[in-house]
Amino acid sequence: MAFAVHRPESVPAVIAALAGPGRVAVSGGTLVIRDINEGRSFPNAIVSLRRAGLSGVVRNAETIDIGAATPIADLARPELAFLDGVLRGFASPTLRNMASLGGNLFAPRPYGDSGVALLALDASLGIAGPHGARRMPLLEFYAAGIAADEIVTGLRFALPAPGTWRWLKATRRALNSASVLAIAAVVETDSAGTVAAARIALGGVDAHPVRSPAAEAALCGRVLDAAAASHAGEEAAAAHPCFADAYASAWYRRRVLPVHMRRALLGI
Amino acid sequence: MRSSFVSFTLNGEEKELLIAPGQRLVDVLREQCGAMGTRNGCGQGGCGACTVHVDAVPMLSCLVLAELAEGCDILTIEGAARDRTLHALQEAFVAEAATQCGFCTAGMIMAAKALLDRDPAPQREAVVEALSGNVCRCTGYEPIIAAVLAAAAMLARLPAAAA
Amino acid sequence: MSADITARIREDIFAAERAGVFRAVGRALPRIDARAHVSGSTRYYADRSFPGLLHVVMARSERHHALIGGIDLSAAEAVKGVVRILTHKDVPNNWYTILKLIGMGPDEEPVLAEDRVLYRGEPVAAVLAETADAAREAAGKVRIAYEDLPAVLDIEAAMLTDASAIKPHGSNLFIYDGRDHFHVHCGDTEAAFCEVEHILEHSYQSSPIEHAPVETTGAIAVPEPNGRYSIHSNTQAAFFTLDNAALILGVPFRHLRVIGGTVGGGFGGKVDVIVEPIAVLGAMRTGRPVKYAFSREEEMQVSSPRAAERIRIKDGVMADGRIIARDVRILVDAGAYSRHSPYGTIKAAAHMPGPYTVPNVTINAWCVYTNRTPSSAMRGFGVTIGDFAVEVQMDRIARLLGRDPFELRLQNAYRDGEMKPHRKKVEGAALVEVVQAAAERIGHSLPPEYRAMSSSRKG
Repeated sequence: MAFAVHRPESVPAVIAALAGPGRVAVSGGTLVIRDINEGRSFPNAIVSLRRAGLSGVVRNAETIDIGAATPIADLARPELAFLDGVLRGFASPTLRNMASLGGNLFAPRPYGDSGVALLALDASLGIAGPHGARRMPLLEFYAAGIAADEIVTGLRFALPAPGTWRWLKATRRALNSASVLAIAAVVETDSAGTVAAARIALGGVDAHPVRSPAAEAALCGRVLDAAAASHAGEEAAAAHPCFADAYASAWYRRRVLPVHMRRALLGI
Repeated sequence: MRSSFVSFTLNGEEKELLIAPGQRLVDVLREQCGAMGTRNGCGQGGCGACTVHVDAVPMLSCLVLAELAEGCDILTIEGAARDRTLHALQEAFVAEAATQCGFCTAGMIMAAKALLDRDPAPQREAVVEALSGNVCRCTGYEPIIAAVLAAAAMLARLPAAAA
Repeated sequence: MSADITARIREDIFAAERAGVFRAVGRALPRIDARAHVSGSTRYYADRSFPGLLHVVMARSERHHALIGGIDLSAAEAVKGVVRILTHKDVPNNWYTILKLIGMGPDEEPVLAEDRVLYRGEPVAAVLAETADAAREAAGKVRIAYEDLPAVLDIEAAMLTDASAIKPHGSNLFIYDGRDHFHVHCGDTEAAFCEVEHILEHSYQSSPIEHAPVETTGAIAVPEPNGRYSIHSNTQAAFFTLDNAALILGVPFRHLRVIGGTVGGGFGGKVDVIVEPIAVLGAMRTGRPVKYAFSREEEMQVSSPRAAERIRIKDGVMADGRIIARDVRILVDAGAYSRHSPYGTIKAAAHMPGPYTVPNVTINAWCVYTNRTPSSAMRGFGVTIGDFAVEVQMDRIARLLGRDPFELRLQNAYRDGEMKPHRKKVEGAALVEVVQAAAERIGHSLPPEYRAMSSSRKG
C-alpha cells in the first residue's frame, strides 16, 4: 500500500508531520510495518522517529532518561545491567536492534513486557504534542493513552536500590517467545527481612501491563519468604482477570502465577 | 505521492534508486537491486529469512522502509563472500551440512556473521541466542550451530587481514 | 561431523545379509546445492522477474458452511489496477481431485466454489491485478451473499446419525467400496479378549499440524511464444501438478511445462496442487505472467495441515507380556474435502498394529468430513499419530505388567516371515536390532536372551 514516509529531524518537525489524518509515528517499525505488511493497517503517511533526536540514554543524579526511539539493544550498558533479563527476554537479538523502548509501550498483549519492568520502576513518560510537552506517569498512560497527534519522547525512572530488583518472564520457549507471564518488582526489605515497600507489576494478566496492588498489599509487612511470595501470587491471581491466547489459557496463567511470583521474588 | 531517489551502499557499491513510496527494503533489494539471496519469508519479523546488515547491525528487511535506508551501508548475503571466496561461515555451512531447503540459510548466515563480527569466539549459548530469531523448519539447528562454531574456529586460525 | 555420523553406523548388524560395503550410508557427502544456498544464489520460484506480471489474491469464504446466494464483483472490479476476476464459471473442469489419476475419487472439491462453501477460507473468486496491493484490496471488496448452514466441526459429532450431512452423498464419511470405513482384521479378536489376563484400553488424539514452511506456497505461470505455459512452482510434486492442472484446464499435458525442484520447505504441504491451476488459468485469460503466492496467514489457515486424528486402542495382554489381541479404532479428520485423507486413512489402518506381531487384530478406520480446512499430506501422514498412540500404549502395558519397556517391545516385535494383518509378509524387519542398539547407546542393560534376539528369526 503506497504511503508517504517522513523523516523529520526534530521533535517539533515530528509533531508537524503528524498533523493530518492517517499519519502514524514509527520508530523501530516492528509493530507498525508488520501490520501494514499483513494488510491490517492502511496509513496515509508514516513519520519516522529515527532521526528526531529521540535515541539515547542519559544518567542524571537520581534518575535515568531514555529516549523513546532508543533500540532495545542499546539498553545493554553497565548502568542498566539490572535490566539484562528484560533485554534477553525481548524477542530475538535482531528484533532488539530494531524495536524501541517507547514503541514497546504500544505493543498489544502478550507483547510489551518492557512496560512491566517500567511500571515496577514507577517510570514516567515525556509526551510531546501540538500543545507542547508534558510528563505523565506510565500508570496513567496505560489507563488513558495519549492523543493521536502526540508522541512519547522519553522515559524516566530512578535506579532501584541494589538488591531490590526482581524480574521473571515465563515463556513456552527459552528464547524469542512471547510471555505467559511477566513479573517485575522492586522490593525493599528491612534488616529483619520484612518487606517495607514493594512495587509489583505484571504482564499476562490483563489487557496491558498492570501494577498489582493486591500482591503488594499481601507482601508488605511480611518476612519475604516462600510462603509470603506464593501468597502474594495467589492474591494477584484472584485480583486480575488473566487472559487466554495462543500461548496459554487464562486458567493456566492464574494457576502458575503463585509459582512464578515465588520464583520472581526469591529465585526458588 | 511521488517516488523519490534514495541512495545507499549495497555490498560496497553505491546505489541511487528511484523508489515508490512505502516500499520495503526487502522488495527493493530483490526487485530493483537483483539481490535475490535475501528471502521473503513471513513479513512479520518472525522468521529471519530477510536478515541483512544495516550499518553493520542485523535487521529484518521486511520491516525496514527503503526510504529510511538513505545513506546507510547495507550488506546482504551476496556481499558476504569476497572476491568469489566464500566467507568462513559459508564454508562451514557447506562442510557441516547445515543447509537443507536453503530458504533460511542466507538469513542464518547474516545473523551469525553479526555475532562473529562482535564476538569472534562465542560460546554455544551465544550462538543459540544470536540465531533465536531465525527459523529453520527443516529443523537443522544442530548442524547450523555447529557450523557457526566451526566458522569461528576457522576465522581464529586465519591471519587478521583475511578474516 | 562425518566422523560422528560414521561412528553411529553399526556395520556389524545384518552384515551377512549385505553384499559389499556402504558407499553413501554413514558418509557425509556434500549436498550439490549447498554452495548455492550459502551464497544466496539458489533461485526459488519467486526469484525470477517477468515483465507485466499480474498478482492473484483469492477472495475466500468467511463462513464454515453456507450456500452462496450470489457473488457481487462490482466493487472489486472498480479497484484501480484490477485486470480480471475469475470465478468457477471460468474454470474449464471445476473439479479438484488430487488422486484422480490413481483412481481415487469422487470429484467433490471445486477449484473455485460454486453454490456453497464447506470451510472458512475456501476459495471463491480469484482477483488478478497489476500489483499485489491492488489484488488484496479488491479481494476484500468481493461481496459474497451467504445463507448459513449448520457447521460440523468435530469428528465424532460428524459421525452421529443425526449429524447434518455436509457432503452431497448424504454422509460425512468417505465410502470405501460401498463401506463407510476401511476395515482390516486377522484372527478372532473377540474370542481372544475372552482369554487374556489383562485388557488395556486408551484413547489418543491429535490436533491438525501446519507445516509452516519458511517459503509460502506459490507459483508463477508464464505464457510462452509457442502457445504453451511454463509453471514456475515450489511444488514438491511436479508431475501431480502437471497432471492435475492439465485436467482442470482441459488442455493436453504437453501444453504445460512445470519448472520446479527448488522448494523452500515443504514437508508434504506443497503436494496439493492448489495455486498452479489458478495461475495458469489467469495467464490463459489475460495473456500475461501471473503469480499466485500464499500470504503467511493463508499458509497457516488454508494450506492443508496434517489431519487431526482420534485413535482408541484396546489390547488383550497375557501375564507373560504377549499381546494377543489388538482392536484399533481410527478417526481421521479430512476437513471439508478429500485431498489425500482417504489414502492417509488406508495407510493408518494398514500400519496397525504397529511393528508388532499380534495374532488377533481388528482395525476400523473412518475418514470423516468436517467443515474444517481440508487436511492432507505431511511427513508420514496416516502413520505418525498412530505410532505415537501405539508406543504410548506399549509403555502403558509395560507399566501395567511391571515389565522393562525395551524387553516388552523385543518380545512382541515382528520378525521376518511373519504375516501382518493385511496379509503382507514381513521382510527387512529391524525393530529388534534398533531397540537393542538404542538400549546399548543409553547404557540400558538387557538380559542375554534379549541381546541374542534377531529380526531374522523367532525367539
